[in-house]
Amino acid sequence: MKKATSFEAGSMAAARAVRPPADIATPEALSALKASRLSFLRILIARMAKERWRIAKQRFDLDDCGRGVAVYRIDAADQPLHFVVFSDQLEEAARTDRIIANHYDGEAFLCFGDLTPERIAAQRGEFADFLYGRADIETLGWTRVNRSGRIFDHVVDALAGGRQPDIDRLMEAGYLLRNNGYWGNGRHGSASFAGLPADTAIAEPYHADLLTLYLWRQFSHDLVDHMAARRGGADAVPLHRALKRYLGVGNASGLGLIPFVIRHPQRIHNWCAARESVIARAKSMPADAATIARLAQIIARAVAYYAEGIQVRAGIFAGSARLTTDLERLAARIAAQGDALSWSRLCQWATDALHPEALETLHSALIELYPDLCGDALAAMRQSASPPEAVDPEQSTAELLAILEVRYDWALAIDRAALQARRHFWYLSADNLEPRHGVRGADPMEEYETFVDVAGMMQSLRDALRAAPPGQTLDRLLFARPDLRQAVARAQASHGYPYGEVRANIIDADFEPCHLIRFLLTAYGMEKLDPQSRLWVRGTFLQGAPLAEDIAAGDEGDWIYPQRPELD
Amino acid sequence: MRLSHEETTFWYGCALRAAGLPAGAVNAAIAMIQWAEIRHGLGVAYFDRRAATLALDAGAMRLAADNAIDGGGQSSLLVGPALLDIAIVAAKTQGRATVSAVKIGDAGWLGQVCDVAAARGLAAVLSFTAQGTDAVDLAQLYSARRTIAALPDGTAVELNTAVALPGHAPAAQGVTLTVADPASDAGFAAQILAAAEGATIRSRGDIAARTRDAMRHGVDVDAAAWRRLAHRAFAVLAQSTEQSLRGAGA
Repeated sequence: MKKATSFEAGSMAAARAVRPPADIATPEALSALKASRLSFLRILIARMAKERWRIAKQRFDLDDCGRGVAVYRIDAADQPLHFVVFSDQLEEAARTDRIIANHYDGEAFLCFGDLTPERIAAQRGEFADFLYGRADIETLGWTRVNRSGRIFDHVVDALAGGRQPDIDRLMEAGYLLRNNGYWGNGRHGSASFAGLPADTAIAEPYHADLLTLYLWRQFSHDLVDHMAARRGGADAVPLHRALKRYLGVGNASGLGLIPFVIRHPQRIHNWCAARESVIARAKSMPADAATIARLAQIIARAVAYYAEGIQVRAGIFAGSARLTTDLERLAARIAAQGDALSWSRLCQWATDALHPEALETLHSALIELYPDLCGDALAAMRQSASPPEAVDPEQSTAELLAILEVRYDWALAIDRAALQARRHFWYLSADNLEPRHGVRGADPMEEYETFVDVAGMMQSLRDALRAAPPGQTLDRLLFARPDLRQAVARAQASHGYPYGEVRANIIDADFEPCHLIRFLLTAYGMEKLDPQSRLWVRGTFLQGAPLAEDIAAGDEGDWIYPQRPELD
Repeated sequence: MRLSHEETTFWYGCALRAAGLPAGAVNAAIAMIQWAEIRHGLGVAYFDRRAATLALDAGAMRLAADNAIDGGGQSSLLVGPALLDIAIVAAKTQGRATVSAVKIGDAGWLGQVCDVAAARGLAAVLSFTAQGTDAVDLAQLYSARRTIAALPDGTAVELNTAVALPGHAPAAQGVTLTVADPASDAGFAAQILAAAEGATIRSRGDIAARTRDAMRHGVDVDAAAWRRLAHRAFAVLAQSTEQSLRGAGA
């Protein structure tokens, strides 16, 4: 059973103010959430700066086109890590946002242990075969990138010619390299997250994955400086520090995130519950002149950030124009209220008057105001994230049915009679295991569909429970229906993750995968992203984040919602 | 070569789906295989030998009596969890209960049920005598007969034969599982330890260290056997088509 922490047992007033799961755990509501101090990337960067991690370029054997091998050494608090990059240069037509290609502009691995030439050569060979390729057990993960087709060459050309690149073009793209995946936690034989010693710096949730994003960003800076210097010689200039700081690392994510969200209700709950609890406690804090001024500053920066650079197209999401309009209304409200401002009243007004994305921007800003409230939340987020497996066979069918009808009322109420309500199924493609979804009855391999259909699973369980004698214990039901074991385990454990079940029919024709994709990327720390279709998104991590020298100096800085860079 | 512990979830999960195990039963089956891997190194090699004959039809199982299962020749991955469920419910009502199962394949994966019972605060003893080709495979890898006990304090007892212990009389064939609830049968665990002469006794700390080591450093497997496992797992992958590419958002 999940233990209550002091955080969860926090003030009763805050507990009462926490929003109920029905308000949060829908695709649309989750999609509206915004990155905050509780997003995993923010947690990583704060830790790196606090512990003054050092990132050193150990090897940089690249030619004029940036092809070759680069090695970075990361001195974290406890033990060194290495990030080894195999850098290439593809033709633009060969670049893809997806994982199905066999070649990328950059492939890399993050690892513990001694780094020998033999080890580097062996890993390079393994990248070539995605299905059977093997990492060694000291490797934390593999990752890949492509160069930005929009600005990479422009930046190198400008720097080689002795001038800084066009800022408008940089802002429109937001990154030099675009990441398209991380394969760790056992994939390809890499180290299992659960096997890392708990006191290892990299053993925090998602730290290894997100550290590779940071290192790609560092590499992108070094790469363009190197290529410009090789081409321009004495005329070349390095990329301006302000531009390095503004540029993040791109990311393209798609359907594979949906099964992840569905398969990990504990993780989803932990993050949402921590966020909701901090928001509730922050709303109960008194607003004073200093915090009001800080809030106004954050909202003003958010307005500028969403108005500039990458524009989020309206449609599935609110869109940049609507969001900035509502945030300007929020800024005006804050200014008009002055000293009379109360956080809870302001949030209530925003709930009633603004788009949910603007409300969640406000909530994230409130979290920013009270970093001290986040400490306990981080501990709660680290709690066990193991999937439910064991069942309690002593429970009666009537007892479980009663639980189901309360906790899964949303799932049991979904009408799945129409074909449209069961239109899609998820599956793995032979193309590098790319997750895809197919049309039921039309596409093959439906019998091996990837689990995403919680509503269908719980409806099947309900039907079986109703058909069973009420006093029958579950051992007898499961003897006859072992296919229901996962459903029973999940339903019995569901008291531990009220925010963890996404309340939607994921296989419905009208389900928008983009919502949950954006939610997960927000939990990781992405602030702005744009849907490329209903099925995948592009966005940017780490815009404004401190550079390696800032981290080494212990300077995390104030880097959310970075503004248009100013060159000296 | 080495596999990481975490990745075996994917390999076994896909291979079991391809072999016909219902999706809802896969997690429990994976847990049984991974337990055998960590405790006895019986993962990929045993799966490699048993995969071609895995029998996974729940409809073939039947309750021969209240505490007796006719496994219908089906795999322990299907029968094992049901065996434990019935034993737990019986032990909770009777204090101590013995459930037997005959015609059950792949007995090498059954040991995990004792640990699951122990995690619920129960004492459990399981004995088996493997049958047919399973007996041959297990004799080569491990032992065709076995008694395994797990106690609520985390202690494990392992014997390379099917032996009688106080309150636990293994049948000549098949599987016998005895589970006791300390709330009403406090002495069972002590009786097991007292009678376990010649057994391997593992403490909670030993087992935790072994598990940590497998998690951290992975497990040794034969490369060819792993390739065959991967090949079986990849049977669930759909070949790429123009239509399927549209389903990826391209």
